[in-house]
Amino acid sequence: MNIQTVINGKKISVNVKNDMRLLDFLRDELELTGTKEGCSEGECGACTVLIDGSPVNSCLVMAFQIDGKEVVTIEALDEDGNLNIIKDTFLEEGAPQCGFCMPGMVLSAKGLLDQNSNPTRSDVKEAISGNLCRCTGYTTIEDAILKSAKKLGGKNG
Amino acid sequence: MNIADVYKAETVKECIKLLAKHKETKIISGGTDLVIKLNEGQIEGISLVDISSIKELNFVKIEGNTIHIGSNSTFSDVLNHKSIFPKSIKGFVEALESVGSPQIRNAGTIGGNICNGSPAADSIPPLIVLGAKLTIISKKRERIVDIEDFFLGKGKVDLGSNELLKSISFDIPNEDSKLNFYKYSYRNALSITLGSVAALIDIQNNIVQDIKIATGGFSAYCIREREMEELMIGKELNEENLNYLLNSAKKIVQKRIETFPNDFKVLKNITIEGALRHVIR
Repeated sequence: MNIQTVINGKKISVNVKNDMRLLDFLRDELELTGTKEGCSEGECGACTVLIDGSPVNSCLVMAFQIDGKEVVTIEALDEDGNLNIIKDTFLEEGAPQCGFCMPGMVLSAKGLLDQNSNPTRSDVKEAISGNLCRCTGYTTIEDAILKSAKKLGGKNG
Repeated sequence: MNIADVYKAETVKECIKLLAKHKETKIISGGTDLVIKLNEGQIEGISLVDISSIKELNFVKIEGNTIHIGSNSTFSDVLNHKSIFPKSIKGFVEALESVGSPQIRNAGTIGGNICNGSPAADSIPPLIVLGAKLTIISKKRERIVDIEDFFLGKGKVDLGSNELLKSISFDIPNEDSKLNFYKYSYRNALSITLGSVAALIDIQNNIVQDIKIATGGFSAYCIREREMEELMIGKELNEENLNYLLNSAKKIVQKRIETFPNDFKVLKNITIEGALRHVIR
């Protein structure tokens, strides 16, 4: 099926196989391997991307379904630079250890901060409740998201 | 993964035309259940009709005393309207908030939750006690089904291969009633429901005037629990009457799962008792 879509700000028209998930399309066809495959059943959040601004599991979306929609992956250098600020802040706070969950975590964080510039810690916990991390625990990740909010202009920090 | 053909419907009209024309099709929207089954090879060789772009089925509106929800509304879409929902349907909102994770709620739709016919579907027990009606359309006709009658077996629903669930409607309960919901799962997020109970309850002077109870995870599909309801209607809400209900409810549930392993039975005993205790108040 031929689809028109926008990936990381770039408009593309491409043929996708009927039996390809968005996750496989991103990794195998577009070579955007920042998006990770974890559980393949929507329980770990490692494959989280933004579709039209909302975090979703790319392992549960078929590639043909992004026709007419906009996808943001961890590789995006978004126009307003928010994603880069979040990435840098995650590093500053020592949030990543093995790093496998990070692309999904960062995109869930972006999904939250684009909607809510002043999140509380409880908002942050809710926003990353679909992303599992088995290394650091979640405190440094929450700290990084709260600090990102502050840097991006929110007041609570 | 093995998928025959893929069709995209942008409107309801297009969708029902596609469904009438092509056999062996399945409707896909959020994909949060279907894509797992496709990926694991549990479903093979079918064609898919993608309705995720049908905007006319994505709505939440209140008309008079009735709430209408388009089947293609994601859990998040519905929750974005929670400020306009009356307090009397709090348990419905809580059920939607308890679904999976933010990612699942952003993709999964209320129509998908219903049409999957999973015994663990979180949105269904509250909709059953609210007496929700489903509007179903095909090329030939439109019909309305009580949600309670929609489920025929585990994963089996009263929806023909040429039919599409359009919307879900229910009346706002009267001010004296409240809708309580409680679910057991192993953790707060990212967990399949072990057992859930919804109760629409009207208590006056500590007497249960009216009660509707529905459960998820205690039968092959979500069901209304009339036998349990009858034990409470007209009764005083005290420890004695509640204990009688809890013990009877355990017996009712155990009868359904006689052939299951012992640890499963113990788990269901604990969850039905605990969940009922939480909702009957």
